[in-house]
Amino acid sequence: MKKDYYYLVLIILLMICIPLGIRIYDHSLKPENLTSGTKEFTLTGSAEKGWILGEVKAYDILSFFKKNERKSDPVIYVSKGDQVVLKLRSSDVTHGFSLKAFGIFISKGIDPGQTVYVKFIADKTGTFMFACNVYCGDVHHMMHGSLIVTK
Amino acid sequence: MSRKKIFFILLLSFELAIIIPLAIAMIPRTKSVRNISINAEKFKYSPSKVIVNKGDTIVLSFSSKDVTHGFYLDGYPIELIARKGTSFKKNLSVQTPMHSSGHTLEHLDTNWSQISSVKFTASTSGKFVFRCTKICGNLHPFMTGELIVRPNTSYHFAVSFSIWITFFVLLLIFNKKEPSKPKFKRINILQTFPWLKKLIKRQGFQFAFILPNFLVFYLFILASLGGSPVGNRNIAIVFVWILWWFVLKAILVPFGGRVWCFLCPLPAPAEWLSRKRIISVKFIPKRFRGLYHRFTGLERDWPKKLQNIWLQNILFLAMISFGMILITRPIATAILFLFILGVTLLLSLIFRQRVFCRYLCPVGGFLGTYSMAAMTEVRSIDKDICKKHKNKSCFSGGEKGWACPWNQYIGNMDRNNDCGLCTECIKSCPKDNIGIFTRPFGSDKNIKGYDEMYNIIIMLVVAMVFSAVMLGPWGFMKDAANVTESLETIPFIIFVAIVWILALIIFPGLFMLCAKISNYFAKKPVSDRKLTLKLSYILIPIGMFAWIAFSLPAIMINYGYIISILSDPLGLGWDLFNLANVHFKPFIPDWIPFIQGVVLLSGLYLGLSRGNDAIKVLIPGRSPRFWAIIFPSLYALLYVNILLKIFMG
Repeated sequence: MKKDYYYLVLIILLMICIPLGIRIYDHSLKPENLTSGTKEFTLTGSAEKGWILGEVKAYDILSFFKKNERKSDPVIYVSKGDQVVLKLRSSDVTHGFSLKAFGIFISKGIDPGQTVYVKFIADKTGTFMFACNVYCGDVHHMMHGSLIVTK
Repeated sequence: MSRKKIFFILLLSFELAIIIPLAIAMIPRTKSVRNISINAEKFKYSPSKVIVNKGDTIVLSFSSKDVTHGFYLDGYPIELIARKGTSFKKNLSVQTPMHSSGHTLEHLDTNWSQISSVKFTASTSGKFVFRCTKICGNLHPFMTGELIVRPNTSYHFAVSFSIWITFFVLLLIFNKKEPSKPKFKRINILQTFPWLKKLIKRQGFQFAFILPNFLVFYLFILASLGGSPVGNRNIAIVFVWILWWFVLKAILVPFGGRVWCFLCPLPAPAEWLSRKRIISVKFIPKRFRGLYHRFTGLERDWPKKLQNIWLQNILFLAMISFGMILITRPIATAILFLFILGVTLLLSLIFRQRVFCRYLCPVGGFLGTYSMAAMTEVRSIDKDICKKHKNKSCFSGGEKGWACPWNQYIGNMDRNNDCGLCTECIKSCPKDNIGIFTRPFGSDKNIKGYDEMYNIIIMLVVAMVFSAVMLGPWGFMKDAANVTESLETIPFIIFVAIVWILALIIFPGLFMLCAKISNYFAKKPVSDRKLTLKLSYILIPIGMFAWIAFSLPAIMINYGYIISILSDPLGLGWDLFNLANVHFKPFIPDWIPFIQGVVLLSGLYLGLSRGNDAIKVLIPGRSPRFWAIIFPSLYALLYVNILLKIFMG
C-alpha cells in the first residue's frame, strides 16, 4: 500500500518533470553568438495564413478550420543598429524568405521541420517588406510582413 | 490417385506456373522514345500511372501546379524537384555543401541544377513507384505515382503462383496427403527459464513495462498537441502510425498475440484508479460478487447483450473512416488518445475490470481474432488441478495476484482471444499451474460467433482499402479520404459508404455464400453457421499477412522520418544526434512490390493449410472436406489477387 503511494508520486513527478526538462533544454538552445543587443524573432510560414510571428503548434491547426480569416501581416520592430536574428520555420509546405532591403534571399527553401536562421544588422531606418519567395499556394503573393527599423 | 501421379501433376502444374509468365515476358515489344510530362499538384501526379516497355527511352519533364513537389523514382537514380515554373535535377555526383544562404533566385543549392527534362532508359522491368520528397502538405507521404515497365514479370509470377498454391493445397487435401503439418514443440517458457517465472511473479512486473511506455505515450500526447503540425515531423505520428503499427502487425501480433495489451499504457490510469493500487494487490478475505477484491465506483459487470465484439467492429470501422486524417494530423492522434484515456477512466468508475479493452477498444477486436494464430499462449499446465482447486484464484483473485482483469477462467480457456497476457494468473495461482507456451502458428481454431467472422472480414477489407488509398496512385481517393483539407464532402461520404458496404455487406455476404455453396456440395455434414465460422479461419492468416504487406512499405520508405524525429522529437528545431535533416532515402524501394508479393503468397498458403486443419475437426472425411474448402479458397485467391494487383500490377 505504501509502495503504491511512492509510485503514484513517482509517476506524477515524472509527468511534471518531462515537459519542464524539455522547456529548459529548448531555452538553452539559442544560437551561440547571441549578444545582448540581439533581437530574436521566430517567423513561421503557413500556406493559408502567410507569415505568423512565433511557432505554430499542432493544436493551432484547429483554429485553421476557420478559413478566410487571415490575420494581419506581422510587424517586427527593431531599432537601428540592432543585430536581428530571424528563426524561420514552416508549418506545412516549403516556403522561402526574402528581405530585399538587406539583400536576404532564402530560395533553397524552408522545409517543415527545418530551421533556417537569418542574421543581419539593421543599419538603416524605415519600413521594409519581407515576403515568401517559393510558391506556396493560393495566398503566396500575399505572404508579406514588415520590418520597422526605428532610430 | 497414386503418389506418382500426384507428384507428376504437381510438377506439371508448377512448370506451367513458371512457363506462362516467362512466355509473356518473351513477347517481343518495340522500343521507342517516349515523351512524358508529369504534373504534380497537392497529393497527386498526373498522369499517375505511366506504362512503358522495357528498353524505351523516356524523356521526362516534371512540373508543379502548386507548391514545391519532389519526384523520387524507385530503382532509378532520378530525383527531381519542381516549383511553379521551374524544375531541378539532383546531380548525384556532387557533394552537398550544407547551410549556404544568400542565394540568387531560382537556384536551389549547388548540387541541384535547373533542367527542362531528363532522359533515361527504362532498363529494368517491373513496377516502380515515384514519390514526393518535399513535404507538400498533410498527405505528402502518400503522394505517389507508378511507372510500370513492361513486361511486369514478377507480377505475372505472383499471380500464377497464387493460383498454383491454391491448386496445390486443394490437390493435397483431395488426395489424403495433408499439407505438411508443422512439427513444433509446445514449450513452457516458464519452465525453461525459471528466472523469468521469478520475475513475472513479482508484483511490479507489468508495471515495469507499462511505466516507460506510459511516459513515452505521455510524450506523444504532449508532442501531438504542442509539437509540429506537420505529420511526418511529429513524433506521435511517426512513432505511432509508422513504427508502432508495423511492429504491432508484423511482430507483436504474429508472435505474441495480445502482448500489446500487456504493455498498453492507455487503460493503465483507469486500472490504477479502479484498483486504487498501482502495483500491490488489494485482497479481501470474503468474496464480493465472485471476486476477492473491491473496486472503485459502481463495480457493475458489462451487459450480457454486449459481450461480443460487434461494438469493436463498428468502432474500428468508424475510426478507419477517418483513418487518413488520423494518421496525418498530430492533433487527431492527440484527440484519439485523450478520448481513450477519458473513456477508460469513466468506464472504470462504472464497471469493474477491463471492459474497454475487451468490448470497446477499436484495435482490441482484431488483436483478439488475430491472436488466435499467434505463437504464444498462456494456459494452465494441468487442467485437472484447476478443476479440483476450489478457490479458482486465477478467476476470482488471490493474495498475490488480481482476479483476471479480462474475466477469463484459465482452467478451461482454449483460445487467446480474450487473454490480455497481463500475467496476473501466474501470480495468483497458488498451485503454480500456469505456463506461457510457445506453439505453432495458427493453433486456436474456434471462432465463436458471427461478430468474430465479421471482424476478420472487416480487417481484410480495410487492409485492401488502405492499400488502395494510401499506397495506390489514385489521387481522387486520397482527396476523398482527406476531407478536412480537400473539403470534398460528397466524395468523402461516398468513400465511407463504399468502405462500410464492402466491409459489412459485400465481402461478408460473398464469403457466407461461398461457405453455403461449399456446404451444399459437401452434402451438408454440419450446419451452415458452424461451417461458415470455421471456414473464416482461412482469412485470419491471409488478413494478417495482407496487413504486414501493407505496413511494410511505410517503414521501408519512411524509416528516415524515424531517425530524424529522434533527433528532434518535438519539432522544435532540435538536433540531438545531428540526424534531424537526414535526406529522404527509401530502403531498397524497388524490391517492395516483390517482397509484398512473397508476403501475400505466404499468407495465402498459411490461410489455406491452417484453414484445412481447422475444418478437419468438423469434417474428417477427405472428399467432403475438399468440397467444403474449395469455394472459400477461391474467395481467398480472389482477395489475394486484388491485393497483388494493387501492390504489384
